[in-house]
Parts: sequence; C-alpha cells; structure tokens
Amino acid sequence: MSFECDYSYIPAHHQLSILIDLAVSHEVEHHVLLSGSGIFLEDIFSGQKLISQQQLQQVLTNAEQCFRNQDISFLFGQRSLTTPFNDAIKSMLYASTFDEALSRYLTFSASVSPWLCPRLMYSQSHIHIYWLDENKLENRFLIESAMSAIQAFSRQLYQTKLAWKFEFNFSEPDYIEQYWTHLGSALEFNRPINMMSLPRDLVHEKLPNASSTLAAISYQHALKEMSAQNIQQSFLLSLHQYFMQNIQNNIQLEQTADYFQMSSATLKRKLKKHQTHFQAQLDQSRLHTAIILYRVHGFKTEQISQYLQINDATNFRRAFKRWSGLTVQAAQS
Amino acid sequence: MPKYFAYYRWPLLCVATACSLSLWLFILLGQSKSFAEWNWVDILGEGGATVFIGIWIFFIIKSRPLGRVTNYIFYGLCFIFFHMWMDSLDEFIRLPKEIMWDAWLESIPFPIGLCLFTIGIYFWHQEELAISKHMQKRERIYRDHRLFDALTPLADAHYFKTQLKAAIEQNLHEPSDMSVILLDMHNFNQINQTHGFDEGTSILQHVSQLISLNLRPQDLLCRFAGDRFIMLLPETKLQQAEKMAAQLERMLMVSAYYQRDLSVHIPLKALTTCCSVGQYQTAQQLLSALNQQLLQVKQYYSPKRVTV
Repeated sequence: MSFECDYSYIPAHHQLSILIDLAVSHEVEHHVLLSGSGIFLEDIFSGQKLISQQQLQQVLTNAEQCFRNQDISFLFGQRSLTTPFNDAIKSMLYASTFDEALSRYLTFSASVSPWLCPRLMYSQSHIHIYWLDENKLENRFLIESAMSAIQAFSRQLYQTKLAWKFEFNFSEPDYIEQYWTHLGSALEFNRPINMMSLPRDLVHEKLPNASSTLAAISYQHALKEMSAQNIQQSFLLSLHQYFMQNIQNNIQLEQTADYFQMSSATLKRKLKKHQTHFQAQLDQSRLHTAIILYRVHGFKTEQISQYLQINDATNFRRAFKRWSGLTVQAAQS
Repeated sequence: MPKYFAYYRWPLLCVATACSLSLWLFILLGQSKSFAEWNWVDILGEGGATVFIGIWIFFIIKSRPLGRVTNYIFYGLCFIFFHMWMDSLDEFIRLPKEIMWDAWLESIPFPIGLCLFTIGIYFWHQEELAISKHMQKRERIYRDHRLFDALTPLADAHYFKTQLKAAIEQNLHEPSDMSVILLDMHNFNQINQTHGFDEGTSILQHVSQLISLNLRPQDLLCRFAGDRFIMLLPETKLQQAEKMAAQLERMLMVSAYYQRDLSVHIPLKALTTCCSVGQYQTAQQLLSALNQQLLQVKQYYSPKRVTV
C-alpha cells in the first residue's frame, strides 16, 4: 500500500521547526509563513500534530515568497539532514560509510526528505543523486533545499567540503552568488535533469564520526517506525517504480490503473491531487531511463530509442527535447 | 495595536472629543441639508481629504519612533484633520447665517496645523541628513528598502549588482580606477555547528559593523550571500585595494568577539580576494572571476585531506 500527499505522518515539530526558527531570525511573521497550510504555531509547539507532504510543501511555497532573502531554501536544506529529529536521520548521521547513509536516505525518504523524493544512480566513476521533481521550475526551491541538504550532510560526515558537481535543468538564476556560496562552483545549468554527483571511490571511505552500534539501533527503530506508519512508498514513487519496470512495454493508463487496482478515473483524480498528470509522470520515467542508459550503460542514441520502444531515432530526439528541453547531443556533451 | 498608539491616546481622545462636540453643536443649532442639496464633488473632495489625513496619522504613529519629529508631525496633522472635519460637516448641515464661530473653528486650526507640520518636516530633513551620514557606506546614491538584507544592516547582492553595473558603464565612458573586494569568513560553518545558528547570525552582524567602520566614506559594503561580504571601492587602484583587503583580514583576526551567553572568545578569520573593475565588461563576468579567485584562495588555506 502506498501513501498519498494528504496523508498526515510528518511530526509538525520536525522539519517545520527549522523554518519557524528562520522566520524568527529573519523577522518574518509565523502566521504569514503558515498561512493556507492549516497548521498553527500551537500545533507545532504541542509536539503531537502530524502534517502531510502537501502541508509541508505549502509552507515551503510560502517561505519562498515571504522571506526577502534568497538563501532560505539553502539555509533550510542545510539544517534539514544535520538536525537529528528522528531515528532515520540518526541512522544516517552515524552510518559507517557515506554509501550506507545514502541508501538509508532513499529507504527513509518519506521522513528525511518529505518535500521531494530522491533517487540514486551508480555509474562507473560517479554516484548521482536526482529527484522526482518532473523538471518543474516551480520546484526550484525544493531542489535547492534537497541539494544543500545532501551537501551539508556530507560535509558534516566527512568534516570537510566534498567535490560535488551540480547539474540543473533550469538556466542560471540571477541570484547565482547564493549557489556559489552554499553549493560550490562546480555548477552546470541547462542540463537534462537536476542532479548532483560525487566520485564513487569517496563513498566507501570509513567515516570519522561513525558509530555502528548507535547507527544499527537507530536503523532498526526507524524501520519499525516506518512500517508502523505505513510510509514505505509514496503514491508517486510506486507509480514511478511501476513505470521503470515496464518502460519497455507500451504503458497505457488503463493497464496502469488495473495494476494499482483502481479505475482510470480514480488514477487520474489521484494524479490531479498530486498536481501532475499521467503523461508527465510517464515522460519523467522515460527521461530518467534514457539518462541511466546513457550515463551508466553508455548506450548510444539509437540503442536508447530502441530500448524505449521508440522505433524512429528522429522521434526519440523530438521526444527527448520535449522531456528535458535539450537536444540529445547537448545532453550528452 | 500599533506600537506607540498607547502613547498618543490622550491627544487622539482630544481630537475625537473636539470632532464629536462640533458635530453635536452643528446638529443642535443647524439644519440638515436635503439630499438634493448635497454637492457631491465637495463631499468627495473634502470628505476624502479628511479620510486621507486620518490614514497619514495612523501610519505616522505606526511607523515612526517617538520623538520631536513625530510629535510635530502628529500634532500638525491633528489640527489639519480637525479643520477638514469642520469643512466636511457644513456639506451636510447648514448653520444659520448669524453664527460666526464655525468659520473661526474652521480657519484657525488650519494655519496652526500647517505650521506644526512644516516644523516637523524641517526637523525630519535634519534627521535624514544624520541618518544618511550613518548609512553612507551601506548605500550609494539611492535608497530602496526592498533591497536590504534581512539579517545584517546592509544592502544585499542585488543592490550591489545594480551599483556595480552602473559603475562599469560609467567606467567605459570615463575610465577611472575602481576595485572590488570579496570577503569570505573562514570556517564559518564550524562556528555555526559549535555555537549554533543564532550565534552565527550575531557574528555576521558584528562583522558587518566592523568592516563598515574600517572603510572610507565613499566605499560601498553589501552582504553578498551567506558568510560573504562584498565591497565597491571607487578611486582605488588594485594595489591599494589589496592593501585594504589585507588590512581587513588583520583587523578581523585581532578583533574579539565574545559569545553572548558564555562570554567565550570566538576567533574570527576572513579570506579576501580583490580585482579591478576596469578589466571586465559586465558585472556577471567580474563576479564569477572573483568567485574563481576566492576558490583558489580557499583551496590554499583549506586543510589537506590525508588518506593513509
């Protein structure tokens, strides 16, 4: 069973407390920050209230608008994985290798990165982290948060700044100095997907702060907590996984709805609730498949288009341009 | 309730009493005009002006700190408000011809109000001059409150970029020596981790004041992003800018910052890099070159990772 964006499971005093603190230091009224989300300051202080992904995203959207500085996404992100709210984050903070921490980041994504679902890709030389963000420009704030979260997290684990490379689907923003200061200088804009990469040999190094016992216990607790709350997989993630498994077949709305044991109308309605639609989700999965085939398996354009059952290479080129906003050549350069 | 409303409650009560007293007298002695007699243009003009004066009074109380300037403006506006109120009343109620006091009540407060208001504006002007002197290093030429950083008392990167753009354009027409310094706090992340983010913010505010005190009046200091500050130095050769940057580094190193609660001394260290404006065509080019330079400086100072 998967959970949906209006399912309340995130303790309101976890990630939101960072934003409340930031609002205090930047003199933003908390009711402006929380407006339209159905959350009140008393709820957060009660320590009992659970909120949904939708509500958290609403507050983040408010934050983007009501803070005058353009560094809030970065400041929020930086603190979101380095503050040990829950066992899931603890199991990551005390993991013995970064590789282990990242696999837990994926396992517990619903509670450690509830605003954007992360994915991992291992190529020969690099490890790449990307997100199910549909390449929407509206998600730029969330992407900035997610990337600075991982960056600050890795800096805390290794006690030094790592040589991350960042790629963005959008063009260079006019507040580029925030990217330089908070992420680093290895930035590339107008790339096919939003992604950050690290040389692979680094991720197996033993970490200085590792505590295998504490990490193992936190991990067990977090697993129990996750199955108690039923948050193994979000609705969009399970849809994405179904697409990725069946990407070589001709995926249709009706079959997909059958697979998830619901009517096509219900599936459409659910997608609408998540502010997306069937084709957008399918295109995202195809784009991710194409990127994986190219980056990990070194496929040529023709091979990728064959794999995706797009018989004509020209059609594939056109489709790729639609998915990513880039030509295939530009994406591979 | 606005901050200083309580302070002005008696004068406000006086105005309200005077207004209602005059209304009562008008109703008692006068005769209300019929609907057909109403002159809409006058009602809109005079009534509207009354409402607007009321709005001004509200915002003056809400936004200005207490003091001489605020008092003069406030009392001036109160008199003007009363005058406008009397003026509006006779649009609705006609007084018998032989009554003279209404004309007096209408005309006398107006010049008094204008006098007080003008004195207030004059003192405001003097106050602005004093503030401008204080703000000189943080803003050049024009003020835009939207471009101020929320954390430090400085303008933000956006403001700096507009100023830099203007400086580069001017430089194309009449070349002059102008330099930019970029300053980065060393190991600021560690300070945030050990002492907390509030302490980090407090350090940024402390540092912004320190740098500002160590610049010349014509220099512009802005917060770039995070723990980085940026300065525009007119009429300054690169060599001179390098000297100033080194001086800033030394100044921060020997300055003492004490943690707010525990009085623990937190050492501060900054890295700087600078460049001459004349070399670049656009602000974007200059800033990204400066960023690259800073990266090299930081690499030089960063602890080397040793793998055994």
